[in-house]
Amino acid sequence: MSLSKTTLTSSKYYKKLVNLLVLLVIYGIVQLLISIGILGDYYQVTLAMICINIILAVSLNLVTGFTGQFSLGHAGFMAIGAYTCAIITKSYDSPVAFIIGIFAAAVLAAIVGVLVGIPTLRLKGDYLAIATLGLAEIIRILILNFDDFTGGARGLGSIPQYTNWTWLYLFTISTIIIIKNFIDSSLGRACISIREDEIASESVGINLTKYKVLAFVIGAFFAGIAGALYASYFYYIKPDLFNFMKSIDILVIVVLGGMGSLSGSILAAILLALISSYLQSFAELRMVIYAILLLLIMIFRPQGLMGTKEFSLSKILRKKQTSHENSAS
Amino acid sequence: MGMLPGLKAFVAAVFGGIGIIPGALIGGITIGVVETMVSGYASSLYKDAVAFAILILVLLIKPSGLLGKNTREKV
Repeated sequence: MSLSKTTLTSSKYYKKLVNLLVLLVIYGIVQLLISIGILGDYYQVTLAMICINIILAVSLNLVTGFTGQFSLGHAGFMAIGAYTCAIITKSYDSPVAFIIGIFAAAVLAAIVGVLVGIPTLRLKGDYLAIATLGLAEIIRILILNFDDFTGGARGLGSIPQYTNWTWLYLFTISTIIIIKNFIDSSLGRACISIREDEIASESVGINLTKYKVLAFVIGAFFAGIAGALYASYFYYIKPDLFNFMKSIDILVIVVLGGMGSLSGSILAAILLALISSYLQSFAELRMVIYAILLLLIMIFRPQGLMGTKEFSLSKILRKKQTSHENSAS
Repeated sequence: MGMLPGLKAFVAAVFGGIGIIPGALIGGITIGVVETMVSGYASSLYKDAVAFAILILVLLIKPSGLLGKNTREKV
């Protein structure tokens, strides 16, 4: 009895160790390729977009996929994060200010998320989508009109660049881990039950507004981080970057990857970035091919690439092990 | 292109009540007049924000729209 228990806990640690090792190896390989110069500037920009899109898609997946609240306002939170971090790092140009900027961006986006979420999350379906879309547009128009801080339509230029592969990777991985742990917790299960059936979950004592707002605020928090990383990587931001289409882009990643699958969102973010960078050589036809590909994927996999399944390294290892044992015996 | 007018049409429909034709008329007139008033007296830059602010106010105060009737949800 005690023996099986110790092997169980040791295998748990072993699994975590393997996962950690894989993450470190991926980080090391990419860092090595960047420092040697094999991965040029072009690939680095694609890599940064992939990381930022993963953060956005995973956080939107928590709201849309797991809690079932159809939100079209994710770009608004990203805009808040981007402008907060940009203004802070432009006023105090130092690495410490960058870190403070990221957290200020995340916290400010979360605060706006609370203020926005409490009134609008009473709505359902299309109404919620339109209301969140409207709020994102209001945020964008306000940024456009506060010329003194934000530069208005001209945008905000010469933002000091602090975001590099290390920061991007760190924040992407921690976003995924935090949201994964949230979903596996009792709070996350309450959110999933809201997605399945609102009335049933309310009747077993789940406070609908509380959990919806909680998921929404966590989503907004990470969207703020993604915005801050974006602003600090690309030197320049303007309100038009965070318009309605940006929200749709994020939603496309979530739906394509599968609503309710974090690994699906990650896979879709990587796939879409690769497709759109590969199609650069087709110039005018690029958006047409992109749209056709999306249509084809949605026709043949209506539930998204991963459905609600998750990719798990330890599960694959275990499967291999058992098949080996089977073939050996 | 054309995204914003489409969204505003939706706002007008929600304002009057979805599925009610006189409501859509009232909503359309109201949105148009308010937008023009805002561009005239305040700033034309806030014109687009006002439509969405109206939408959110309507959804908060009377989600079924101005002429809409409350329907009870059955379990």
